[in-house]
Amino acid sequence: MDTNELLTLFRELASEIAEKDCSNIPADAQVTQLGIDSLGLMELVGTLERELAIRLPEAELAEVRTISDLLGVAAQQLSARRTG
Amino acid sequence: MAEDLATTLVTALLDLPEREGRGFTCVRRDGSEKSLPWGELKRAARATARALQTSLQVAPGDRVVVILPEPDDFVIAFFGCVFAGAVPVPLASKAPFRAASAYRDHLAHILRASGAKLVLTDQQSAEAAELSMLASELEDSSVTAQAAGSGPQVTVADIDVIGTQAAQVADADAGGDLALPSPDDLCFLQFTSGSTSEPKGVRVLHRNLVANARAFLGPAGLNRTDADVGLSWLPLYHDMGLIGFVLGPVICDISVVLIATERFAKLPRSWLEEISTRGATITFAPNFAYRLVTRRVRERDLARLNLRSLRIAGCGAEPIQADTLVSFAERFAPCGFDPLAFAPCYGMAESTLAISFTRPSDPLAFEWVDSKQLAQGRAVPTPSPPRASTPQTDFTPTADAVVPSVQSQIVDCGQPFPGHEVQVVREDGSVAHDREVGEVWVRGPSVADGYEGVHSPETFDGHGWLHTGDLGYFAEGHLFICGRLKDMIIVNGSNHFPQDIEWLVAGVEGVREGGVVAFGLPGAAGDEVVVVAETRASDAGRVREEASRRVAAEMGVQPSVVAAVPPGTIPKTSSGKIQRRRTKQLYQNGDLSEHANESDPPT
Repeated sequence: MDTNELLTLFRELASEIAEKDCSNIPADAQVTQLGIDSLGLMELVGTLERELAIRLPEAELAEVRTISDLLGVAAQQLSARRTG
Repeated sequence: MAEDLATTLVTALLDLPEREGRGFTCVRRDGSEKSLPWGELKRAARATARALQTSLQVAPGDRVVVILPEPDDFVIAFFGCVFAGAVPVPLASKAPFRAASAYRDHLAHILRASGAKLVLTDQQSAEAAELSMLASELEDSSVTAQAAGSGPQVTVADIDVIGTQAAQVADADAGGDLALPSPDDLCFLQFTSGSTSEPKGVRVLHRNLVANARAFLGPAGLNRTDADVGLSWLPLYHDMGLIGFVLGPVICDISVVLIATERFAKLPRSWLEEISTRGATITFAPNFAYRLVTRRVRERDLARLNLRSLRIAGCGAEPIQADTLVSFAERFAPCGFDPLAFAPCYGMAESTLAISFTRPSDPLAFEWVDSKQLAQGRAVPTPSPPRASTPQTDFTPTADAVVPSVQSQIVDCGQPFPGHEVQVVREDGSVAHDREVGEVWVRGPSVADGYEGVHSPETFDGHGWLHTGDLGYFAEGHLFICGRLKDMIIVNGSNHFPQDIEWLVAGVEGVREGGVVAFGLPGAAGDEVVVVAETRASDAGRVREEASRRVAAEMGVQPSVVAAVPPGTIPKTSSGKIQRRRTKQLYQNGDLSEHANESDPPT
């Protein structure tokens, strides 16, 4: 799954959780600006984990600010799974 | 039997019969299960107490901050502290995507307010919050001076290390001396999710816990039986999760499945799946959680869910919306959910946990009252409106003159417990009539021993009455809660003080000093946060964006609106204090003139 596919998937999932259209949100937007509260963000993380069959390590989530940061962590876990 | 009843949490745990299959089942964040039968919990708590005493020199009365997201770690650490005579201070771990520095600030305030010098946590929580930086920060700030005096620095200890030491202690010496507190001794400090800058720790005594647990789990409350199985994902650093599903069940011998909160947050429907597979009989959650699962469950999940076992579905901790519970009941009727299971209740940490409860056999009751009359302080019932046209505000703060709709729906929160008094009181302190709105006051054995280190006669009045700050009325002996005196904003079960949001926004460049007001407006999913900030027109766009970003990042709530207004718009008192309620009124009436919403005009 490449960066664009990840972003598309993310926008779909975010739209479901935020219950509004997030299909145009830019990758460099802050995660906290999705209009989703802390609990919703955890749900988004959980949904992403299930969709991609990965786990997003908490320590790395602590560093996440933007959507592309978050997808970067996901991509890393995806490639770790392929090679591992 | 009555005279043998335990009078402290310590004797309650020690007295628990070690029968097969009774105790806690803990589901950790990774889904693995850890069983903690009563006997095992007693041994683990004893050993932990010894390890705390010997390797960390924990002495009776010491405050110990406990930050442990795994339920088994938390429960053992909590009872370990209590067995050592120490006073646990439960605290949330840092939420993902929130600034670590803001979290450490909050922790520093808690350390100062509680006088704790020890933090028990796990490696993950410590790393996520960068707790290694805590010591140097404390040294730089005034917190150290106030918290520690000339005493030792704050120690951050890893629960796994304590656990290893405890295992060795247990091998060498299963006995040891336990601190046996008296019923009047302090058991723990419950910090309310209040103002970040002025956290308040409620002093919960052993006798408060015992009285409240027996009240809400006994015949006047949930009426526990040996067949009950509790199930909760509620955070254990809050009263509803901690007392409702850990301490109460220990006092009244109820087996409970404790699920790490994160599992619910990541997959809300897992709550109902766990109830279904484990045959749970008692669960509790704030209003928002019922709303969330109703929306999140899929058609194909319904066929697999069996909710017949559930006899109590409690709802509390935030304003209860009848519509939410009715929708839940409709959605899950095919799964065998019994609407009689709903148990709306009312309470707060200052009264240990519960103040009033509906009886398990009572159907969900609510009434429609005239909103205009309610705003005048009278709860006048009206016939329920036709379902299709109900744009009612479910929860209309009566203190506000502006009520946009004609009817308000208010949930019956049941009756006070035996041995406790509840009064609805007018502003002049006299007792209100039936159906007259006033502040709810509570007196009785569940009322806590005040706030740690803070004299607050406005809340604990010195005559035994707790002034709750909530507005309500009595109708035929049943308590209805319809608003609050304070300006607290409640989003998804979390309380936010407007002062904290205002303080954050005040730091945004271009915001006029003293020119910020934050307030909540009732929305479909709880309160919506509105921020009004004074700024010049040329800064308006940037201020809107930056204020929104800051509040979301630091507080974890997204403001629905940031209104940028010209300087001088926000009404102030003669002494220059902002008038929050007046600003809210102006906003609701559409009388606030905002800067134009397009990009900055050319200068």
